[in-house]
Amino acid sequence: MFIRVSFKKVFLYLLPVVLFVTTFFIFPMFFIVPISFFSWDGISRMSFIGFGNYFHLWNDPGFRTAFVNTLYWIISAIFLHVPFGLFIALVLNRQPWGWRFLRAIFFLPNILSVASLAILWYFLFNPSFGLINGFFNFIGLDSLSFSWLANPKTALISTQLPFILYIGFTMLIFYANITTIPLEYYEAAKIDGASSWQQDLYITLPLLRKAIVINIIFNVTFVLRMVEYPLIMTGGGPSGITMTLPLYLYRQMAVARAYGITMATGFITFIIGMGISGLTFVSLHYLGRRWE
Amino acid sequence: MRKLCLSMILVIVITSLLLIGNVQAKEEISFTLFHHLGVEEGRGAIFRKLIEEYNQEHQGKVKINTSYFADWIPLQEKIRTMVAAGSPPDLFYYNFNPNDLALEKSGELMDFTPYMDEEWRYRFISPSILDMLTIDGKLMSIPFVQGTVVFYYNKKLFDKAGIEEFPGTWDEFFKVCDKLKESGITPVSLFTSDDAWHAMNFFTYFAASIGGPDVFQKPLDSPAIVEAARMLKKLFNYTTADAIGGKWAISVNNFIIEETAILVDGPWVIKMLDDGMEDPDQVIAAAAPTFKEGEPYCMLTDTVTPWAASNRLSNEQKEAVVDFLKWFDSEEVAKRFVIDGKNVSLVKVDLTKEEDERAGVKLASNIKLSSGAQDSVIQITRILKPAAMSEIPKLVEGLAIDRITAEEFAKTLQELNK
Repeated sequence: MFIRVSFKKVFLYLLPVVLFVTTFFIFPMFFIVPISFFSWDGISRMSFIGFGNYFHLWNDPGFRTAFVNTLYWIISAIFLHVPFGLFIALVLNRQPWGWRFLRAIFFLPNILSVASLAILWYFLFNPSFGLINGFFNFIGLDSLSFSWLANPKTALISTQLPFILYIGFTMLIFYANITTIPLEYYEAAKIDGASSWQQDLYITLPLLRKAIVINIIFNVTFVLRMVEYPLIMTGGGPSGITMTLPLYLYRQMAVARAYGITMATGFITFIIGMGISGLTFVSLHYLGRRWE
Repeated sequence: MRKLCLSMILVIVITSLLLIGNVQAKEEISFTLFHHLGVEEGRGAIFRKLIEEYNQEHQGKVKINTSYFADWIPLQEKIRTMVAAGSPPDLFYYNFNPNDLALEKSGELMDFTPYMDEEWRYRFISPSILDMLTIDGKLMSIPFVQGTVVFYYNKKLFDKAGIEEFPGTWDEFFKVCDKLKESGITPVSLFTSDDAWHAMNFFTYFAASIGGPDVFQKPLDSPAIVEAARMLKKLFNYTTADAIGGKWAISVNNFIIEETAILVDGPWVIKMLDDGMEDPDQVIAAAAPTFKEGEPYCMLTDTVTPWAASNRLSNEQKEAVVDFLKWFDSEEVAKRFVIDGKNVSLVKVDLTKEEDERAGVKLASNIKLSSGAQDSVIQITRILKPAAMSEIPKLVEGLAIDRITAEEFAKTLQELNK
């Protein structure tokens, strides 16, 4: 049943938000592409160089590393962070002992800024006095006590670890959606002899399609704009090994003062984000139809 | 409809009242000073006190507001962004880079030429610095500070390792490092993130020792630079495990907690050492080693850090800025900044013996070492082009973990700095 609302009222209510989003998000995006064809240090006059910035990115090994690392971050978001958040939500839905406390604990890191969490993990990984090496030394695993953030083999996964573990917000979205699923479905499945995990697989998961889409998009867009973890924990090192597109973009703007390259990187990042979002919608729509 | 009209009238009235409030003429002239001088640095505490005193002295006429940034790099990035947006900070300081004059040529900085008089000109240690800061006939900034970078070493740790004096040559320096390491003491404090300041201090000293003080005026892929890169790589065998990816504060702290025995930095660390160390008198400042015993040494300096102001200030605000800077450069105020801030200023100060003692042994050593140097060289990261500067952490780390050779380091630096 629809309630009739006057178009004028709807327009007036939406106008401030539409104006804000258009002015500060959509309008600036129309500047990104044109500026990406110029060489500009942000202060002096711009000079047109055509696709020069894109060729520079193509030929820059630093950009290629950042591109590949960003894909790794997206993969860890989709296949580690989101499933982990889903798993915790499913466990909490069973309301084990102390579930309210656990739910609060999992959500607690989301109250803190990403920068403070990155600083925390920077010190946790400190090779001399960090708790991680301290723990390994304590339990006798001295071979695991080394400079995780400075080792080319472990630096990238070390910067991703806090992101993978801090699933509070993701878990909350899943949990909120799970609680809206009618209990009758589970009762019917129970009567048919389905185990808890079968109920989750055949009832919960299909009905969480939209929440999965939302979480994937939220986390992928987070990854595509997040600089804190690689910036604070490793500075993009060692030797550029943990560089990501957002951090590359930041360094090109703030340190190299190459605004044209910055815009070109931003445009490429935007295309990746749109691509992943579109692919997510299509995949889950297709999977949803199969489930039906 | 009536409610909508009433709401719109209310919005218009409130907006008008707010605008009128802002447009009203203010009797007091104010401007905002952007800085990064925290109270943990010697300069920070005295700097803030001086601003407070100036405000008290000029209450009702001029007020200086301050905007504090916790670190140098974020401050500089903010300044650049604000200038790029056409809204530069009212008053700030920055690193002058003769190879990157974008700020000075932006048209956003105030021209101090009409305000510079003979009395003010001769307040500076070297009035010729004003010529360096004059771009296209306009004096775009006013000298503030220029730090000298010396070798601070912990005598207690040296004694523990059986080392009697600070090495005079680079060969002896590495032998000292070996000896310290054998005694279980990490020799040097280094870090590689941001501008890799400590690592690049060593690199600059190595390069200047090999190629002379004008080594950076030649191509950066010269044999001198390659050899300096090799020495820098070797130095990473003598530092802490958290050097790679480490930050300036961690590196300095390693020296403070006596984790390391040598720190190469400027006078701004003196207060941190005095406040943080158990026995700060054990820290002695020494000149850089050379390649030959008795060879005159070169003094590494930070670049000139001048004041600059926004060209968008009103005439009254500009005059207030000039008045403040002249006050800051006066003998009395400059002395307080040098003595209490443990700072090396670009303004002439004539310290009495008592004032010298108040300034402290470390600062006195800094000044003495500086005047004893045959020549000076500006730290390389202060004169690189921005594209090269942005790659420094990657290059230094690559060198340290064997991902690139010394030749590749030098070649990449040269290509990026073209």
